[in-house]
Amino acid sequence: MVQETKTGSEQRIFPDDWGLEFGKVVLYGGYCSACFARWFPRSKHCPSCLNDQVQRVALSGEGKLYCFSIVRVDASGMEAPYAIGYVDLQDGPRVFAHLSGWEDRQLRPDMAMQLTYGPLPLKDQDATVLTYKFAPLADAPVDGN
Amino acid sequence: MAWIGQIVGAGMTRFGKFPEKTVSELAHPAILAALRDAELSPKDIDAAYCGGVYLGMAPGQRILRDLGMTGIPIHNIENACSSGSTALREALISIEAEIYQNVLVFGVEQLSRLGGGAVPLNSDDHEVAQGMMMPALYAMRAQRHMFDYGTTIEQLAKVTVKNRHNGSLNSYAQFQKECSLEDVLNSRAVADPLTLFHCCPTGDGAAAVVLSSSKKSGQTAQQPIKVLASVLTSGSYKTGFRDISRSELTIRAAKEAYEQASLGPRDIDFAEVHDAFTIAELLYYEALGFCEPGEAGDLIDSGATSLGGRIPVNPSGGLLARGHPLGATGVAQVVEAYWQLSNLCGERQIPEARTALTHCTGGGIAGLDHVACTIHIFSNQ
Repeated sequence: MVQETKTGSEQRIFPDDWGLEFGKVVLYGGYCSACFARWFPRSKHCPSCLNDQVQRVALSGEGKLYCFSIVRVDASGMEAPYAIGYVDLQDGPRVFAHLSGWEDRQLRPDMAMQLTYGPLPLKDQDATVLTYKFAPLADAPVDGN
Repeated sequence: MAWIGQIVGAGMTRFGKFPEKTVSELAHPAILAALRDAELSPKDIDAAYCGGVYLGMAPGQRILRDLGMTGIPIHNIENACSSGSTALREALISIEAEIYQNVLVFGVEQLSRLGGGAVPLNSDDHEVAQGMMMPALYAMRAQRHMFDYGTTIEQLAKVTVKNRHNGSLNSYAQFQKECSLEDVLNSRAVADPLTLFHCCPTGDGAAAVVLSSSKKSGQTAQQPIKVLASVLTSGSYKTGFRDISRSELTIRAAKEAYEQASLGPRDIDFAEVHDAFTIAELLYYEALGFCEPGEAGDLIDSGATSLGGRIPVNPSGGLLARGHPLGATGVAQVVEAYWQLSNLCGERQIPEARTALTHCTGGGIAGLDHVACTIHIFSNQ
């Protein structure tokens, strides 16, 4: 799940499920050519038709923020406060992710969001683990924060 | 047509924090109380079902060893928050199949040994590994319900005020003091918009019921309570858009339960529902058909779900006030239903209660409403 990248000393969570292509952050999901289902994260079998010829595809980097919450208590190894939510991507999959930009700008349900990346708010400050995140569309920096 | 298995005895412990006890010490008083109530002895029990989540290996056998119930079929059931109620369902199925006649069902949990805070979920799950926990999930449901329907934070807070009031009338409840709306709104923030008092407490406890086949000869100690419906189902997996204001799992389970019992929501006199968080109780008013989608805020405002209202919900105090030792909850709801239908609830007695519904659901896995939902319908007619 978490492993070192080749380029640097920073670790990435779920490194198969996202990455940087030409400097731009990309999410990779599953695509089933039998029933055209698209989902995140990719699994070996299609959750709709059980076909195991599942392809790894780049997903849309934009979507709508369906809901979110700012967590105020330390939990699951994370240090509060942090914002998490569900983004409905333009091409269909719903993605759970950390949100950035919430400290400066009021997030709202149905807000337009763009994919970015940044550090997980881990309680253990010695480790830096990067993850994919979403930020409000106009503000999203593509090179991480 | 009612199930063959009937409830003939019940017992439970007061829920609270007892980290110094063993799980057996937590469970024994509830089991012994249920047996005494049923006027049955351990040697009358043909089989036992034990519900719990974090009990380790073979908790049923460990607990029953010193109570003289060994050498019989013992089943250990884990199904997240529905563990205890799933144990009840399995027992009912075994009596229906005429395999056993007298069956002991109990649920127990000791969360105080896990250190408090949010219940640990399995970090294989993509969302849990990144910090998802139940309060955050319900916080988002609250946000969405408020956004879609204009439900207010005060309406949510009223659920705690109501259930703490009910708990103050229940000597088995973890919280037996009332609280005000301000107490709820001003409590410590957990995950916006939910504060601490919007969340059920962590705690320990046990509850037990004895089931007997109505086909067996001999008299039962007191009027048995009939089971009109027993339903278990699990959440459907959706990888894309899902309306989280709408509990698809409870809606499906409720439809099946009402059909099985040949009843509708209006036939239910009171209900014990899964109020792990305030928003949960409101969502389940709608999913169980006690009001239309979006109208749960109006329903609690009207007082209909308070004691004395047309459909009291959680007369025991519910998870919010009675507490939520995971494995015990599903059985504790049934104990309350049994006591209410047997006219044993004193100050919180619902007059002329005839038909009760218990609803239990929980567990977090990405893409699912919840992992499991159980619904039972009981009658004293």
